[in-house]
Amino acid sequence: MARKTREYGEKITFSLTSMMDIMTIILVFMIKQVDTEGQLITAAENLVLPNSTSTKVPKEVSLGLVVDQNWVLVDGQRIIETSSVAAQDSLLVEALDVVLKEKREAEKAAMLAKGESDEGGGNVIVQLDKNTYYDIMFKVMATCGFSGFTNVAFAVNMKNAEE
Amino acid sequence: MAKQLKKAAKTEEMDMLPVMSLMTVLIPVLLTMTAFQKLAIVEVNLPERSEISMDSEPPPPDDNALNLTVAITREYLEIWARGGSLPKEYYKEMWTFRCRVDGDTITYDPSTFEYDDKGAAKNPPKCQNGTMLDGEKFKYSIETIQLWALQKESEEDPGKVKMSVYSKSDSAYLDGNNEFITDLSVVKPGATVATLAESSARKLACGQSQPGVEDICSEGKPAISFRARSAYDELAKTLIMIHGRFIDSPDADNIIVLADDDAAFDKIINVMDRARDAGFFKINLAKLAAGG
Repeated sequence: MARKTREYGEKITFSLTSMMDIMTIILVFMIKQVDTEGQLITAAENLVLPNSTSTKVPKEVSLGLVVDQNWVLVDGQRIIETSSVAAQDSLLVEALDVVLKEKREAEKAAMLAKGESDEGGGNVIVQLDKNTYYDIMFKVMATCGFSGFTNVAFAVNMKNAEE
Repeated sequence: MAKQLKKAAKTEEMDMLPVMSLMTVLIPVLLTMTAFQKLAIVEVNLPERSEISMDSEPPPPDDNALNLTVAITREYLEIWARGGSLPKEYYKEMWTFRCRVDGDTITYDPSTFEYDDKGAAKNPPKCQNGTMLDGEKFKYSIETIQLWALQKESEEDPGKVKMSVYSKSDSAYLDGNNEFITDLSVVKPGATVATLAESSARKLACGQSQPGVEDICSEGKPAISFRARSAYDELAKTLIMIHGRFIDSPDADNIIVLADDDAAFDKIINVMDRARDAGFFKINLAKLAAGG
């Protein structure tokens, strides 16, 4: 009985050194990964991007346009319901056009303020769910073109292309 | 007193606990920041309005221009070049779903689904353990859309699925005459085959890997598959052939992709991938006129 109490009373110390080693390696590895990637686009939550063999990565900061199952979003802000884009006949999505024109004007003003020509820019990266109909994709793309965003690119998941 | 003395004699160990707590916080933070799936972009040229309206005057024909167009419809892929069209590439669309419950994949023929007035499926896909996917939203859980190439004699012919031999990394094998290999016995160690990639001719071997030789075995057994040929592969083969033959055209790098309104974005991206791999870098998108 006496032996038992002594055992409980003793202070047990964990050897954390090995755990620290693992943690340090993971930490360094992750910092490296985050640093080298420098993500310019972040995948939206509500959709699945298609896989593609494309290896091109965005070089410049672009406007983010997202079309998910329910909404069309510009920079995370809900603009119009996807179903109403599908329902309309016209190629121009007006609600989207208004927002995009505003963004384009702001971009131009910023470029002029920096002393650059306002011809450049106009980059937009569109993220679409892989099961989006072509009709919706085409209308969104056309609207981008009408409102001055002429460099349209689609975001895709990079597939490890062998060969 | 004696106890205290004993303690002081012990070698002092650094207190790692605060550092550990810090690490435990840092690692989840970094984990959320890390993107495990790398994102890329596909650039397109904006649709040209003149191509959308079919009643406008066509531009004067240029004899040297290739005017390459790929159309994606519900039943076939079609290529037009120099004003003429190549035989239609019929396909059967198959949807593969991934079940969240057990992680397995199930493949369905989309024409078997029946829809009610609201557009929800009455008979949504069933997982292997019996759970049904949501009738309204099941289309968003499609993992891959496969297009099985069909051999058709006429428009009415239901068609026969073309089969092909695929490598471990899922590329279709071609023989010396640049035809798809449809006989599994041809693909064996010692044979020379190619894939759709450029200068990809290689010898096959089992259990050895060196440059120019592909190891087709895994754990001592050949790991090649014999399955329905993808219509995308048929398309890629034709496009590579066209790009090689018309390399001197002024628009040798241009391609227009046309699609039906209800073609899935995934199909467009796949067709664009094949076009880019074949050497057509300037991709334009246009819409098929209604009813066309």
